[in-house]
Amino acid sequence: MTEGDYDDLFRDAYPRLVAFALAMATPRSVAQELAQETLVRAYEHRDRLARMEAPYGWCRRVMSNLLIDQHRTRAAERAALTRLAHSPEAGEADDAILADPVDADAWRRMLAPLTVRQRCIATLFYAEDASVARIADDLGLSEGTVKTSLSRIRHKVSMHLRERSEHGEART
Amino acid sequence: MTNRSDDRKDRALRDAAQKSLDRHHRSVRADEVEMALQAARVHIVGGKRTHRPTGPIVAAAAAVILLVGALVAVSNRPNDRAVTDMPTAPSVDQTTLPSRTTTPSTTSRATSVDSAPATLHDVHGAPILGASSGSGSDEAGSFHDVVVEHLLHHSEILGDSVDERRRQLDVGGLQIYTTLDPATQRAAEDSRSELPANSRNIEAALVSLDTNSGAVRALVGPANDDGVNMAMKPRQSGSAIGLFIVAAAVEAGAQSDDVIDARRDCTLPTSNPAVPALVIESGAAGMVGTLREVASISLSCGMARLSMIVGLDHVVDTTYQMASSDYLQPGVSNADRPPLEPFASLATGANELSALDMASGVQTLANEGVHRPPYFVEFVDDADGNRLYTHTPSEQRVLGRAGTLETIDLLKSVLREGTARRHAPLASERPAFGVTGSQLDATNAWFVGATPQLSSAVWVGDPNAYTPMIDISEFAADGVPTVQGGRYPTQIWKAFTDAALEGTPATDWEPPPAPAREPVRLVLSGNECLSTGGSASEPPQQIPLGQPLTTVDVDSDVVPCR
Repeated sequence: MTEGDYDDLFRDAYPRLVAFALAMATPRSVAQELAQETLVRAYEHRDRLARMEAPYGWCRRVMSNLLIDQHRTRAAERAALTRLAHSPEAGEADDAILADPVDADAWRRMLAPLTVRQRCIATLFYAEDASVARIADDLGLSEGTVKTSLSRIRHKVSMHLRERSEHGEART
Repeated sequence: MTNRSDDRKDRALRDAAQKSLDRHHRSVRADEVEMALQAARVHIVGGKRTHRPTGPIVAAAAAVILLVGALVAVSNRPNDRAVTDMPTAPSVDQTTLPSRTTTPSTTSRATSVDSAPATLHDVHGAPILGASSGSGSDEAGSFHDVVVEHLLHHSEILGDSVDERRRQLDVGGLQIYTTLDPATQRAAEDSRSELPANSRNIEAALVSLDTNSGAVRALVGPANDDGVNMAMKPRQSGSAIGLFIVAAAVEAGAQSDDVIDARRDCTLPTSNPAVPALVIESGAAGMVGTLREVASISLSCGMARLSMIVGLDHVVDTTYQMASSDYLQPGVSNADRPPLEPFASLATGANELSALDMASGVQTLANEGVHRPPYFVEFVDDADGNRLYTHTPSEQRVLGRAGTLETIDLLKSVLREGTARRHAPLASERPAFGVTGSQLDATNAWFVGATPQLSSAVWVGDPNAYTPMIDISEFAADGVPTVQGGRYPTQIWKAFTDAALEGTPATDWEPPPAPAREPVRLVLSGNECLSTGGSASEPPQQIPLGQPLTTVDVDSDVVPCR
């Protein structure tokens, strides 16, 4: 892969990876950071990628796994931050970032009740049109698990939408 | 297997998903891409991430560096050789960015460091095997896996980043001494047989903490499809949230002999006019009774009214404080951990808490108002026997002692004459208190209870769905048409507690001090008014909002406001 080829891959893949992460309800700064990390890794593997038919698929796979791992640690890290700093403002600021465009986005509302792995599967399946076999391979799961997850996702999303419309956001 | 309804859902999901993706794609501007590319180029050509054909060797070297760095970070011991041996270092962000989650047994064993995966031990120093190891009981395995997950994602004991922590677990040769007590764990495993085997995937999870320290002594639970142990998974609290409502009410000055309206049906407005009132039209009929009566039989209109008299925000705040842990913190939430909300339906169980959260909450009461956050690890030694970490106890007084003794005494009634009376009383009349948790649709059932030694929570439900536990044939055959907190969860708790504490002397808390004042009636200002004789021309008299509670004389003629 020439340097020019790499730049082309970067320009094509970076916005797609960021969009993919944002669709999974990831804060923009994290989406940008992980997209860049993915593409730096892609550079390390550029010779292998050059032989691939769809190098973007490789990138999306790396990105998916970075996103899942990142998400699982974030809660713990923010808990630590709050504990250390005793600063509720810090927590609130973070929430503001998380909440950012949520209300304008029906998809993110649908994702709200899902676990991060389910969000990833849902986004790959519904937004990126990835096949069950492909998702299973990317995330290191069996096809059966992916199918079960998709059925749970449908169920959870429809329950959640119904609950929201019944309860409203009953804040006092 | 898809059907028409799935197809319809799929279309709606696909439509929303693709619109979202398009919108986000358009939001990435060309100049942002160029800046990102420049930044990536800096990493790449800065000599730090240059291409090497020998990928695995680089990865192994990176692993060694990370491991050494992690050891230095944990032990604070300088390691000159490691530093000078460092080859062209990987860029800094590689050490801070997490990599893909894999199970500890599958990553970079082939480093040049002659070290081994971490070994977990119980309180007697005996090793605990992982569920994936193929030996040992599933349940002890589930504790093992929960601790590994804890160390990776919810604790900084093994380092600042997940990568660091994973290297430590994989190749650090660590000896991790946990809080697990094998006898208590065995009692927990055995107690789950109180739940009949069934064809609907209904299962039980149990967490038990040392009341005085918060140490996790036993943890059993099936993993759901996402691999999350159900003892750690937030689920709707049902009426078990009453534990926190009563604690907050007593802390605000309520007494167990105060009177409250718990009659059904009830319509309870929130203080926010934009939010529709909570309407409860099912469940037990209820009465105007004392707080002790209302709480012990868990009357939803009474508990919901109480939660609003105390203030929903205040109840939420109290819950966060009583159950505070690495897993439950105000302002920290995500899709797996929704925040606790001051919903009008809080008392009927709209919020989600895990069995760990529940046990952690009841620990604060059982420990007379002082919270000790739950913890899994007592100490960690490295491969050479050097102590890298020792648990430092932390505590916070959340509730006053006198009020807590009052709450404990009140909640003993749940076991004596309340919802748990049939199945809860412990062997040898061992003193205990608790709450049951039920829901109208019976998708979750709870018992949360404590003795002076152990603070525990039991959850029963479908790990992967909200399956109503109604008319399940195996349970119906057992005389249980609907699973509520007072039945299987209570039975499991009793079987567990009796076995775990067998031979331990029965101790009791001090009785609460005498009531500080005469009983009053607790009223919800704006919803309950004073009668003015019933003439149509004269509306009932508003009761001004009191602080911290709104009360009237116990014999007052209280009527609904118009």
